[in-house]
Amino acid sequence: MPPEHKIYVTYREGARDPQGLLKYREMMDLGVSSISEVKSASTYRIRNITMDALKKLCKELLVDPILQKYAIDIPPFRGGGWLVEVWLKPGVADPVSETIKDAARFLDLSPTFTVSSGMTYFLVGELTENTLKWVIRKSLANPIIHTYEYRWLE
Amino acid sequence: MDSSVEVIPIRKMGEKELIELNERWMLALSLEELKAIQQYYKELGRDPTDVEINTISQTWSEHCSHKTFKGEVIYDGRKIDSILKTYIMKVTEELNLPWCKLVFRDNAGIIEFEGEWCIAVKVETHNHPTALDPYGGAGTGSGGVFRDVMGVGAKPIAATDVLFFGPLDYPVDMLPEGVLHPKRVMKGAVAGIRDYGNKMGIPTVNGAIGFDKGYVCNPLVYAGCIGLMRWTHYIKSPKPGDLIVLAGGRTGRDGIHGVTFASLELTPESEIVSATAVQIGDPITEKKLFDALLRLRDKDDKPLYTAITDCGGGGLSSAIGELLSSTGAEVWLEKIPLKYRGLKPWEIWISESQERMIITVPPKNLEKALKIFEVEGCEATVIGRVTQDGRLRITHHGKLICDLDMHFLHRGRPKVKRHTIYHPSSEKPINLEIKNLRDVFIKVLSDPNVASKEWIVRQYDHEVQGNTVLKPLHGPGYGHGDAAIIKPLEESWRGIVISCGVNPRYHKNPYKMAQSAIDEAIRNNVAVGGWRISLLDNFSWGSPEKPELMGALVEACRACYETAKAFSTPFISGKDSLYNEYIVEGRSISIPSTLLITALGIIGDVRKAVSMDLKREGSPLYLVGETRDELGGSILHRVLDVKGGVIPALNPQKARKRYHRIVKAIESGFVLSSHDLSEGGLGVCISEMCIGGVIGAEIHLNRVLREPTYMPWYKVLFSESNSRILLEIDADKEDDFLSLMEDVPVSKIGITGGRSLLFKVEENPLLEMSVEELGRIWKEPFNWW
Repeated sequence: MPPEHKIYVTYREGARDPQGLLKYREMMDLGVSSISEVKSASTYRIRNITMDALKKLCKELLVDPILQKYAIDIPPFRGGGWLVEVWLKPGVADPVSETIKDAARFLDLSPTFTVSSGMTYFLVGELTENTLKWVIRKSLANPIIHTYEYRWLE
Repeated sequence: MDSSVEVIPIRKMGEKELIELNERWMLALSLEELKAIQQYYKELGRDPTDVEINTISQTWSEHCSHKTFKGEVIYDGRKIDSILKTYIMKVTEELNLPWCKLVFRDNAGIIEFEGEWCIAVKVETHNHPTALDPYGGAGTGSGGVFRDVMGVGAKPIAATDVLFFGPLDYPVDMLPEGVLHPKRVMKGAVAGIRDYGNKMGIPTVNGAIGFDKGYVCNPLVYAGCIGLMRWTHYIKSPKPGDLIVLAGGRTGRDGIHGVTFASLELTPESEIVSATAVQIGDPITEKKLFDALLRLRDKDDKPLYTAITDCGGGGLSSAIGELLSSTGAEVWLEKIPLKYRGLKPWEIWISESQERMIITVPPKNLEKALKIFEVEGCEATVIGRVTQDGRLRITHHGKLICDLDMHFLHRGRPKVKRHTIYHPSSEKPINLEIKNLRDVFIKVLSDPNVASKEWIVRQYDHEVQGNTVLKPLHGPGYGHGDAAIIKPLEESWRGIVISCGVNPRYHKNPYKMAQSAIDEAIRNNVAVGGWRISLLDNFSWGSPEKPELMGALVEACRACYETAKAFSTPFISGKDSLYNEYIVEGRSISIPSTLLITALGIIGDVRKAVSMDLKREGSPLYLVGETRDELGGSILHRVLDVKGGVIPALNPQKARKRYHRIVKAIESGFVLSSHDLSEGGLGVCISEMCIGGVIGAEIHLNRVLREPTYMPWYKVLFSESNSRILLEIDADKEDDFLSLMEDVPVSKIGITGGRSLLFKVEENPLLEMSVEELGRIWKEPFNWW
């Protein structure tokens, strides 16, 4: 199995994180008041790619350098909270990934890599695991099209 | 036989096995239909393949064949053969207007616009997919209706969206299992429509949003598209020997059983069994597809293709089956480009993967056509050829896996018979004791059905393509317009006027509901100066197998015939979405019966169009039409949780006369601003005009023409009587206006000016609020920036 890398694209300090804000408001609507902030990261799983090519892809395609930054393999979140990664189920159309593959040609990157797109959320605050699962179903993931995984990050 | 194809031993099945077959394959067929299929194969002396049984199921689905609308209905002791033909199509047939070029025959209706130019229009529903995945469902609703318009050879130039959701404050713990919260559904649906339309470069110019607890489990998404074409662009003449080309996106498992799923009720398990029914859109692929198809259309003096159609509900099965029903087709399934391996032949055949279209191309044009697709970066593949034997033959790596008689496929379905019950509602006026009119006024103005939707409207690009003359937000205060106007031709000032009408709050009286929807759609068109109006009908209903809902459907259709005929407004296209039901704890919950009417009018000179925001201080305000004690289903009754009352009626002959005069007044330049009275009545209408123009007004309620004359003032303020429009008239042209409006019910009810809205009775102030306060109240519910 070729190595797989995860790319997390987040907003720089001071830039507005619209997706995180949207999800935070949804949680307030759901009555989950123990969350103080939701941060988001567009996330990509990429296989069959060299590290140089991966960095080029991140810098020149996946990231808006004025507003965003990227991290490879290590989620760029800290501070006590739940990390939730949401991915499309196999077979569900993933046009974002298709577009990335298509655009890679213009960067002279070999199109042999595979990519799938998803979202990562970092929920700052205390939640029981049961409440977290409920929140994921109600706001972060749609079980019809998504799979998800979560873990606590110190 | 191909090992990846299963043969269904239908010939030896009893009723129980047939029902099990139906459930196992999600065929959504009735026992009678299954028996007809069984009989067909008995006569053939063989059993069907899974490809064949799925092809028949798709073709015979409610979604594709509209079997309720085309079936037999027993109503009030008499038999109606097709409510579609008897009521809806009959209007157009009897009016027989020369500008209706193509109606009820293809993906979209086509009418003349100017000279050789025509307008194509279609409105679709995408309700079930949106309930499951709001973003993908609503987005692909837009993508699908764009393809419908492209499927008659027109370039999409504008989009519309009408949405209904459950209450945004619906308690989370009361949601049935498997149902997404209305707020999440709404935000997802809006984002899906925004992303698809904006990325395709198609302006979303008109729409509406409503909220009711009846939509908690079944949200409604109506997506519409208007296209521009020359009549010569319409070509549907596939010839034997032409090649079938599949262009656009690749085929995956997405959307499998989408149309049969659309003909079933949702249940808590829907999210598990229907995972593949969800489609995710890819507007960039569709944009490339359209760019290529438009070049193919315009390459020579006639298109390079001989026929074109959209791959929508039912996928290739429906597209090829319908397009080539009168010729025949041979399809080579292994040629179809797949997203991934592992799809069974039946899955490839009925997949509803998005952004795909079918064209038939004469062999001599193939090279040129494929070159254009290549240049536009759009995948296109020859997957079969047109035949002339009237059969649908599908092979997979040379093995025959489907061999169906087109006649049986399209004419072999037994007609459905629907039974009806209808009890006319008893309506009586209700008198309420309104203790604090100001509080009630605030409740009405801030009701989500009335409140400003600017947060949503601004997400849609309503200006791309640069043709939108009258946009959704009017004046410095951003009031909501009644209709949008598109000026599609550079060399002409003529414009297309797009409006809609929908009143599910009146569903207790389906006849009046349909009348009101038609009147509202026409009224909105007239309010900006639209004339020569044509209509589209989109019914979203519960199960037609429930006699009371079927009875209501017949009543609504009857009203459509009588009202549209009286207005001389033909129906040019339509669609129905039935089975909008959700089963929870064994109980089936239907949506409120909802009829959307879309109106498409013409304005001779877009420079004469008027918006709804007040323009000047000191202008006289004239209310056209009478105000009656009609508050049944009104916003006032909704916010006060009052049941009953009289639902607004309609006199289309009288309405037609006054609308004609209003359009003349607009054309003559007498009208500075104009706004229709609908949800919330006069109170909301004048408030929105003041907010839009940031100008106040003084209104004398005692001068409003009323029937009966003695009516509590709150009723004058909030009555939702039909056929009323409030006009701001140029003070210098008041006399000319009054001459024109002779023998039309019109009354000068006030004057513009100041910084507040004041309602008076005689000289006594009844209610006064500053325009600033009105704006704050109106905008607060969706102040989600």
